[in-house]
Amino acid sequence: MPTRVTAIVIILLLLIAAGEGLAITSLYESNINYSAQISSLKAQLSQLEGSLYPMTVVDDLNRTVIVPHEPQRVVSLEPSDTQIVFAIGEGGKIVGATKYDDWPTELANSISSGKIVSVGGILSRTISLETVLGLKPDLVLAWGLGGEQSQIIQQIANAGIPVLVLAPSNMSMIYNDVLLVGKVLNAYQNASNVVKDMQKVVDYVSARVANSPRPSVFYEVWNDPLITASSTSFIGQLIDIAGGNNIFSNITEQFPTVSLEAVVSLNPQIIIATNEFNMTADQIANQPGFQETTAAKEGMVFVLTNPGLVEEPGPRLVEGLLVLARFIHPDLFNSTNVNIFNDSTGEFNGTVISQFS
Amino acid sequence: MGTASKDKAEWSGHHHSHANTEDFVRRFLSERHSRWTASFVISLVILFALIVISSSVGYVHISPTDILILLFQRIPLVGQHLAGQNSVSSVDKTIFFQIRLPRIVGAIMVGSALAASGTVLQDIFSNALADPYITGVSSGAAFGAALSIVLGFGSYVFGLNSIIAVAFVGGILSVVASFFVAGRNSNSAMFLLAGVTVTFLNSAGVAFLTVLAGDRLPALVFWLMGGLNTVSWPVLTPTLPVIIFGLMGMLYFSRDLNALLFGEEQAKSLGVNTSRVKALLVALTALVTATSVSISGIIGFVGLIIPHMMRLIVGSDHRVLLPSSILVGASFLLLCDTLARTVALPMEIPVGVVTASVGGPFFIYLLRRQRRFIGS
Repeated sequence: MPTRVTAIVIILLLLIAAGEGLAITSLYESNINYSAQISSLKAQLSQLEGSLYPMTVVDDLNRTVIVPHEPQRVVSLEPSDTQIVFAIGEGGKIVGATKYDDWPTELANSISSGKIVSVGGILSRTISLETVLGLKPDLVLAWGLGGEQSQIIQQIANAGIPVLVLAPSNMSMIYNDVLLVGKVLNAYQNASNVVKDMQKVVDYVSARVANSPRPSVFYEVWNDPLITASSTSFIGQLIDIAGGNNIFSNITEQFPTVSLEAVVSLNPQIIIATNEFNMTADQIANQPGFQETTAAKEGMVFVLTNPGLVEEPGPRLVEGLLVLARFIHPDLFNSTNVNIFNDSTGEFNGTVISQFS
Repeated sequence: MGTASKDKAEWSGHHHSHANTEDFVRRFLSERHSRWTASFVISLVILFALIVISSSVGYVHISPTDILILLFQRIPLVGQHLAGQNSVSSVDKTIFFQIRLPRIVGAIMVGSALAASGTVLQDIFSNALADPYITGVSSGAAFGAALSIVLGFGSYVFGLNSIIAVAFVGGILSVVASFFVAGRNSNSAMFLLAGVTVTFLNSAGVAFLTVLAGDRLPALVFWLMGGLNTVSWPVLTPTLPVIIFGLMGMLYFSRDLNALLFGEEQAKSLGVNTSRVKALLVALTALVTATSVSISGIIGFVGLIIPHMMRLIVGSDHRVLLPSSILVGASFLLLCDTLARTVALPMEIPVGVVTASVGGPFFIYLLRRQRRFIGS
């Protein structure tokens, strides 16, 4: 009896050894069949990818959006949405954008050459619905904050086109939105790389300001009426990360109209405004009451010449973060220790990705 | 209250079945009421109290005594004796003199201009729904401002912000246009229709400009919202005299306005050159309204409701109605603007929200009380 068992075991071992041998020899022999194997793997992969669609996602307004197939024709109704698509390397899919889109340069060129069609402004009544529908998009990216686009979102969705609405109000929502757009456009890996790059810059700035005193900051979104960005907004969050103390930190509204008296009384050490209301730093510093603030007395009033970097919540926000950090902590972020600024204009110069990755 | 309700009835009636209307008219015009003096005194006291309260409240609190000392210190001779009498920091002084005080003066000016214009226009057009904006002046100012914002005109004209200057010109031109559209010797209805037409044209222009505005859209939207948030001395210096001149002019025509109350025929028989007086009064209202709109944008409610309120309270004799409207209009807008800048500190809310929500309920109360007096 034991001999029979031993025989079976030996036969089995022999069979396994033969199989292994065959497999190994076949691998060595089949160099010519490699490409065939790769193409078969590719076919399997594309089958897998095909199964990603129809894809069901939930957007920032908690709308359930069904994307039937991988989008090839994308219309963006908001510059920061467009910027996300370009940052993740899918800019070639954009067929329509707003007249406010100005980044990247290749997009501006495509708009002027007619390759990308301008669909109008960013409000429901300034966007041409017919142009949007005429472009036959298979995905429309829209804007949810403030609700100005709710009407056109409804109209486009009613026409059977998937509309993904982004409404980020802080950095982590922006990261999520980049990943969401990446997922929908089947470029998730690129999207997660973009997010990692953004986080690198944020970590770099946070570490650098960690042990410095935090000067008080007033951010002027608009001058008449006086509108600021509170700490609950993404701009407020950038100021926080850049090592500043927002003088309007305890307001829940993101972009409140505030009292001029309060600004003067809270006496900011740094005032940051944008060039959107056409005032120079000197004119801002000399507004009634402003001349009493430390910022005005010490020449710490700054005007952003490229406000899109700070006010458009997309991947470029980290560039805006560096600009703000330079205003708030000029000693920590001057051009000798961070070689990414244009010395004559003080503006950000070059792309973050190349400097921090 | 009896006389007031009678006046109200006369005002809205315009058809008199009196056997001797002229007698009644003469008696009415020469009558003097002792309570007029009382109403002036009360309105003035209210306005003064509001000025002190409004000066004192805000993001920083300055006590009323300090306010009075600060103000008296500015008076030559008297001021020397008060030097160093207050405990107000230099920042708070700046806040008071450069931010709060001009805003208070602005509210008083705009409120009185709108209330006076509304009173005059309601009476010369015999239309209860007339307000200072009915002549097309506000829409014209809005169109002017929009043009100036979108085309980006040179920033300063005669030392004034170009938006303010062009808004003023746009407002005046629109009233002139209304006059031309209505034609000479036209009746009130024609002029009102012309005003409405001009308003529609201007609104179409503003709507078109919002499409063209591009990057300047926020500036346009914020201008159209209106408000006294950033009124400053440089804005008030050239505009204040214009409004004071306009208000004096209207007060000068009080008697003629009284005569007009009884219809054109009646007024003519009393020796009033009705078409000339009407044209001059429309011009004066256009002047002060265009100036107000250039300072503060369009603030609703004040010019429509304050005149009605005052008619219900003091009656329709313009020698008392017009000054009362001016004082109460000033107090009302000052109160509303003070609330707008203090109830949500450190935030501000739009003054238009306050005018409607504070004034509306009070007006409804007055209206209901009045109805009870008339006794249906």
